[in-house]
Amino acid sequence: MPKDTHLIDLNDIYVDYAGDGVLALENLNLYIRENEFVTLLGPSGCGKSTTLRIIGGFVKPTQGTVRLNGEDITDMPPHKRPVNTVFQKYALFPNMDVFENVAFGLRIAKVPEKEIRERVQKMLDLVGLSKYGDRPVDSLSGGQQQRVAIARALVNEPKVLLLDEPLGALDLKMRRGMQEELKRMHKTLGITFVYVTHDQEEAMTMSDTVVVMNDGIIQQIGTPQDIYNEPKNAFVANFIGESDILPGIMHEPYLVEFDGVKFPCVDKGFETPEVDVVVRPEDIKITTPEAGMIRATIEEVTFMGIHNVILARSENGYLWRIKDTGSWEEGKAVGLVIEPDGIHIMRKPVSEDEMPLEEVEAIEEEGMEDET
Amino acid sequence: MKRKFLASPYIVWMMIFIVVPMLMIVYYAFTQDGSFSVENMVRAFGELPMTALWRSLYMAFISTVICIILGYPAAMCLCSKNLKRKSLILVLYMVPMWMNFLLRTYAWAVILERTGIINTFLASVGLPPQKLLYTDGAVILGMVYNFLPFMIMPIHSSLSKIDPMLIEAAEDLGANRARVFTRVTLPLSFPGIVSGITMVFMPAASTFAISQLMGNNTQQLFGEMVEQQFRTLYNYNYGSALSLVLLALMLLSMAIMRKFDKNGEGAALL
Repeated sequence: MPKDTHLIDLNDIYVDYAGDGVLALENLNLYIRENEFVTLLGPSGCGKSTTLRIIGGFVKPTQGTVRLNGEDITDMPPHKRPVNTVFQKYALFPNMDVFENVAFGLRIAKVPEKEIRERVQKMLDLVGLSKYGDRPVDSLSGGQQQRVAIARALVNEPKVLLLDEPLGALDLKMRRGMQEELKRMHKTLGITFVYVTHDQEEAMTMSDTVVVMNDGIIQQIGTPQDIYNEPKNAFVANFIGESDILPGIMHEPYLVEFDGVKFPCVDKGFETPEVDVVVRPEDIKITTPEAGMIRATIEEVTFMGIHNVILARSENGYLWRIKDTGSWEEGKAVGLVIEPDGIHIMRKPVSEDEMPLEEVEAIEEEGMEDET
Repeated sequence: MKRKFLASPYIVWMMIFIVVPMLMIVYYAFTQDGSFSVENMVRAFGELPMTALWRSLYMAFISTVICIILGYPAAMCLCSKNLKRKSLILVLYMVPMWMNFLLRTYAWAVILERTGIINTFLASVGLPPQKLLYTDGAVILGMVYNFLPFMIMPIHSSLSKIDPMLIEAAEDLGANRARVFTRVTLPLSFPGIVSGITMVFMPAASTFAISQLMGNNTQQLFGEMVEQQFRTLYNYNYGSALSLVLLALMLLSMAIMRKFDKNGEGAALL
């Protein structure tokens, strides 16, 4: 569990790589507590890797300060920082065997040979590669190379472990296994983890805190539950899960109108009556037309394994996406019920930082293609 | 089968101009007046050719070392991300390569000679003229000048293959710039250095043109001896025997190179 003390503070960070005013990071403020598992989540080009590289010392912010334990380390070169990185493509030294790769940091630090042997062996045991010490790194599988990369970083007992999409190159099954292992390591070692990924599921299952980023700006910081249940804007809602997001009007506190129907809800609303409404597909119940709040016609039913995904067109023409375990016939007239706590009200994008919906969707799709 | 057919002109070419002359050299080396004899081979290992051989190897060794010292930083420059500087340096290295090898060497002879630009300058500031041409130093200068690109190219090729992430990984693990170089960059560029060494050392050890144009005529290099036997003394048998010694030495260094250069970077350039 994370402690209350701040280990890393990023204050008012701006990054302008080319010096042309195009910002990779804009006014980023973030603190990371000791023992915390923080995940930076977002589509490609959102600035999450840049943030990680700032902590590692590979990118110097154009503006702003980086503090570690209160000490300003903004200008400290990477080799002096008590931080180690697990790189996306492992970056193992091809001229050394597994043992020497893991021992690299200790040799640089001039740790006595006997202690190096002990610590490296212990690390190789931890990642399940105890018998692989004398193998050349290119003889290992992707998953094994990833473990070597993790061992190589952890053996130095860093204050913070930075992980840059470490599981991106692994297949799904191996990725699940490594997620479990990383969680276990985080628990047992008591090291702060900063994890970068574009995979929302990975972020949700592993982290104490998720930082959702888009376009160089932090969209929301919170626990996985917060992020999922209380997305702050349309981008977050859309990126975190499949949701229906539609414009609504708050007529009074706890009463919102969307898709031509007034719904009781649990949110008070904001200064302006225009809002965005998020409804998750699993929060919509299908019932008879008479019992429903919205009348709709089922247009399409897709079998997904555990549940069906049903597309239903309402009388007002909105196409609802519903997750339901029942089987429904296409073309059937039904009613849809949404309980008050299934409705989440968000502020409409006001500044240019928060993009309108269509753009968000376009970027999200792009991002997924790029990185998977 | 079709592909093999396409290679046949090249194979024929190789047979006529490489394999046949090789066999002729072996034949000449082991015959005298048409009958088998090891006399020339024994003579090729005599004191005079061996002195010339050692001198050749020594001069080639010095040139190779200088080429590494000059070539490695140059190769690193070429790998740097600074594009402006890179294209300038590339041009500086490439322009002399477009000129004929002998012309380039002549140009140096002109610069270094008694009435050359350097001595003219020395005279103008009141210093006595220096003997620059026809010295070992001039020969080494000629070798370095002519063979330096062959050192830079393979080193550059192996340096540019190093994943920049490896450098970052080393820094991340606590290595400063010097340690990154000794622990990561240098070991990973080692195959390029080995290729460079063979590509400079072998031609430098067998050269005769550079030493004839710029060298001290009283002490011959091995390449000059071979050339002299064929071109002025018409002693094909002894010349072939000397060539065979040189050939054996080259094969030896090729073998050493292959041992170090597992990726075949040098082989691609040869």
